[in-house]
Parts: sequence; C-alpha cells; structure tokens
Amino acid sequence: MNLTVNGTPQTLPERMTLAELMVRENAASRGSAAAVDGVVVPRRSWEAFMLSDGSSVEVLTAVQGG
Amino acid sequence: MPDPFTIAGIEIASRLILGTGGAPSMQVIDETIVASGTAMCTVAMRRADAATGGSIIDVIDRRGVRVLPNTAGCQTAFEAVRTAQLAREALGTDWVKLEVIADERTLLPDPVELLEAAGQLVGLGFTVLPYTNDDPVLARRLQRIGCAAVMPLGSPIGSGLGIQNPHNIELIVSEAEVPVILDAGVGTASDAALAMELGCDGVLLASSVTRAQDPALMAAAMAAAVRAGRLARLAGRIPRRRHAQASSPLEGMAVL
Repeated sequence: MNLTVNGTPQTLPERMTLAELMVRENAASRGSAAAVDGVVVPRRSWEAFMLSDGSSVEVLTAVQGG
Repeated sequence: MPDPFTIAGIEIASRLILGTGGAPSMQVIDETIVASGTAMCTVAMRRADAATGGSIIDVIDRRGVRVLPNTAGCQTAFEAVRTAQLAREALGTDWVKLEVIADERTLLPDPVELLEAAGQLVGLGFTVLPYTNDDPVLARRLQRIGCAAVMPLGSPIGSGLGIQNPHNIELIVSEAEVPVILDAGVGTASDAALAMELGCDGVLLASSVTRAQDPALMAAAMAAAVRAGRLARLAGRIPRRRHAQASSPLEGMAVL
C-alpha cells in the first residue's frame, strides 16, 4: 500500500490501521494527532481506522511555540 | 499572595502566560516555567518528523501547568480550524490560542480570517482565545461572537517593541466583558508592567523570556513586573499634571 505521510511517499504493509501507523511514526503518545485526506481522525477511532492505498496522512505533534 | 483570574469559568492561578517558542532547550523551558510561576503554557502543532529535542508536553505535564495549543502559522480560517481540531485531539483540550496571520513578514493577524475562524471554532465548542490586532472594534466583534478572552498585540510578534498604542489597549480593556490578555511585543519587564497598569487581566509572552540572555532570570523579572503592574492598577495611579505639585507642606516655612 502506498501512502503519503507528512508529504513523503511511503510503501507500507496492506491492512494497516491508523493506530499502527502512529506507533510507527513514534506519535502514539499524548500530544499527537492525525488527519487522513484532510479529515481529523479522533484518537478513539485510530484502532478501527483502516488506511487505504493512496491516502495522504498528516501526523502532527505538539512542539515549542508562542 | 495568589491573584488568579478566570477564563471561561476556569481559574488560572497566574496572570503570566508563557509561550514556549524560541527556547534553546527543554531544560530552559522547564527553568522558565518554574521561575515565572506560570499556570499556562502555549504550544504549536507541527508535523511529527519536524519535532526535535524531546517532548514539550512531558515538560508541561510534569510541572502541572495547563497547556494552550495555538494555531501559529495558519493564514486562513480553514487551516486554523483544522489545526485547532488536531490540537484538541492531541492534547484533550478545547482551549485554543487562535492565530490567523496575514503574512510571514509582519505576522500581523488577518482580521477577516480571524473573525471567521473564531466564529467557526465557537460553534464547534472550542474555548477561543484569539490573538488579535490592538483594534477595539475587532476586539468587540470577537467578544460578541463568543470568544472567551481577547488577546491584543502590543507590537508585532517577537519584535520586543513593547506597547505601541497604549490608548487602544486601554480602550479595549474599558469595553471588555471577557479577560484581556496582552499578547506579543513585550520586550522587557516594564512592558509587561505597563500592560497590567493599563488594566489587562494578564500577559502572554514568549520571545522576551526564551531569547533573553538568561531566560530563567527574565522569567522571574516578568513575574515580578506582572505583579507590580497589577498592584499599581488596583492601587490607582495619581493623575498626570502639567505642573509640579509639592508633597511637603508649603505653610510653616521658616523665615531665613
């Protein structure tokens, strides 16, 4: 399966959940969030959210900022 | 002596809100949180692969201060609303420091996009603290639309130019039905004191502390300045006069 994660194309295993991707991106802890194809996916839905080929995922985390 | 204030029914124990941007390390942020006595710190949301140097959330959580995510860098209402939604999921708070800037050179708020974003976020159940121009009319509109506070700039972000239009800040304060927090432009302690003397409920600052030569020492200075300004506001300053007014009695002078 081909995904774009934070702007970078990636080839990932089939049948991957968003929760699994967040662990892989080291962004599963408090302070991180995800949007798939421009839609914010609530944390409680990550486990059930199956990623699909061609999707674009933004993985964000809290950083220093004014 | 504690001197809390209230935003959206939540008591905030310190009137100094600390931005965490610009600090050279997490260690410095930790030291400034302690030295400032702050009860709330801002964070930004960025792509996870751009994050470096440990977790800001760990530092903030460890010190038991409230986290206030911002929408820094957003230039449209659409981007700002999406960013606020991501921050809500990431941090479990519906509070947001709403920033919608017009361009990267001035970092000035775009009033049209700001008001639009504020309205949408209030509708989505957010507690919205907008970073706004020092424009009393825009401040009024932001309150009317349901913002929980208004946060006018003293001068552009990171400029350290202080409060360029104190009359406008006073006017915003005089009309406000929600807390007014001076946000942006503070360069040194006297700027923070002036904000409080003008009647602001709090001060939000980042660069003046995080980029100071000794950030923790400046954080302590800011805490003292906010406190001093607040006390002076409560005490009521003397009116300005055109001419001198003796404080020693004029009667009973010796004839020499």
